[in-house]
Amino acid sequence: MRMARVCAPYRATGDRAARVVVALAVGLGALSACSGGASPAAPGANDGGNTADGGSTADAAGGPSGDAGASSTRPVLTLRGARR
Amino acid sequence: MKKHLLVAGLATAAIAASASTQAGNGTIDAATMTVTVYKFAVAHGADCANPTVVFSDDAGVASDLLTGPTFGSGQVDAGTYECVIIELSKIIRTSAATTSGACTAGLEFSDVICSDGQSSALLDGTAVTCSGGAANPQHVTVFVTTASAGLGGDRALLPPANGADTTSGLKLDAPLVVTGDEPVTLSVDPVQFLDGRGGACTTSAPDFAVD
Repeated sequence: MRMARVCAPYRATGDRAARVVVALAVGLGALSACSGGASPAAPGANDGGNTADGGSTADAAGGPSGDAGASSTRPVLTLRGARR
Repeated sequence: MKKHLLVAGLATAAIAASASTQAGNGTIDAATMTVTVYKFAVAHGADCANPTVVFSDDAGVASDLLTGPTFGSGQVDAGTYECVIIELSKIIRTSAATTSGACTAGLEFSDVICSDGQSSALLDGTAVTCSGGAANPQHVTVFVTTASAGLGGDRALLPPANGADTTSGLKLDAPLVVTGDEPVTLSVDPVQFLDGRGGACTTSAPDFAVD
């Protein structure tokens, strides 16, 4: 599933604080933080994970970019008017 | 882009009741035909149940159909939709392209697409009974569905009672198959829409189509 794949890079940081970040990202923030495909590349996410209270920081940093990625995958319908 | 849907006989039914003559039986072309759209939705089933709202605007988006406007857009899941739903004002604003009889070129006036006493339903299921003519700016809903035979009549602005109900709504010739970004067009024929004979400037039934 896309969000799992996208969130995976968080685990690479290794230390305990980072694992907390991973848990938060996958468990709570995954829908917003990781589903779009851009989150792993966001430096803010891993930066947050390596600080003491990194969990929430990582979520905040990763969220917006993930949302943008997800929304682009659904078709857009546009209602127009015309002369016939 | 493939054209998926087609022809809503809205004119012959509900709208015909509103104003006067039959579709295109006037003598003067319309210069403007402005409608106000509040919601646009699609539904997988031909019964139009459980619609997905594509966009919604409480204030309404008023635009002249003849100028090729964009009313709004929104995301949907890819898939096949048997019903296209547009909630709009029952009031249409129009004007004549030329002066003739009681019609004055460019002079805009209001008419309605739902006759008093006729029933409709909003997208959220709220029942509507049209009343008060153009002085009462009610919302009505156009349900364009593959279930409908496009018979018009009093049920033209109502959703099908079920997927086999051919007597309600407007006819959708083929389902809307969404695989990517897609326009849905509400078009109208302005030819001979107005009639200035008889002492008043009246309208025919608007001949709408959806494709």
